[in-house]
Amino acid sequence: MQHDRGLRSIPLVFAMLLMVGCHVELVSDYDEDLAKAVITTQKGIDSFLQSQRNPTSGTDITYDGNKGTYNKIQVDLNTLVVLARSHPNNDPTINQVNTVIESVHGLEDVHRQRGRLSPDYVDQKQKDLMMMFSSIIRTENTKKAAR
Amino acid sequence: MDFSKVGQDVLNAATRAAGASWNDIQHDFVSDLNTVLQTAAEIEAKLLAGRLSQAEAEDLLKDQTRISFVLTQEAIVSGKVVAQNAINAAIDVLWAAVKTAAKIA
Repeated sequence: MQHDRGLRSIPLVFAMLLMVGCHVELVSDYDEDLAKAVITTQKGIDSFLQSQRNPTSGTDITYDGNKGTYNKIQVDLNTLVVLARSHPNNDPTINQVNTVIESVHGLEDVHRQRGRLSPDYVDQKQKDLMMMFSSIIRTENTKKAAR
Repeated sequence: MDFSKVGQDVLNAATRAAGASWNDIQHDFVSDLNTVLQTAAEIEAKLLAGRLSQAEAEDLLKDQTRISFVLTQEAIVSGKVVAQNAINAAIDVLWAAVKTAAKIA
């Protein structure tokens, strides 16, 4: 019965929209600032992981030697959350950013526990984060197609 | 882990989320999902070979779930964009018809 009532209200909603000649917005607008910030953050994390994977001589790859880098990455990730939350109807992007944060926290936890990261772990983590960041950027680009 | 079951579950969730836009994104999504499933199998093998610690393997396996979730969110947005465009196109046509009938500029 509730379903019937829902169906009956569709023409009413449509008529109301028509009266004001406005468009519905199911997804947030494309945000260039967010897209740029995602790329900046991805580069920062990727260069950190690359230095762990293939350190130049004298590079400290221990957790203690990289706390500052983790702090900087966290600040960049917080910026992504703020940008993503600044738009209505943006839950999918907020969820994506929070998932990247979970993954980076996983990286930091493993680094903290072990002191050093194994090459196989760093190699795979780099690929995983790249896939997540690529998906966020594709999602943002998809919003460009919205009318 | 039963990788084929996990793969099918994720695929079903994405198909539902994407709705009408599934055909547009199916190729990329299935390709990414296959990478995720293959990676999960490799992580298991590397753990058994001692190339990854248990904590590392656990985190990387969680990553594969995280990637699946991120991809599903992408599919949701694609589906919503298709729906939004269809609704707004219909509103434009109706609004134009109303304006013509009412002789509004």
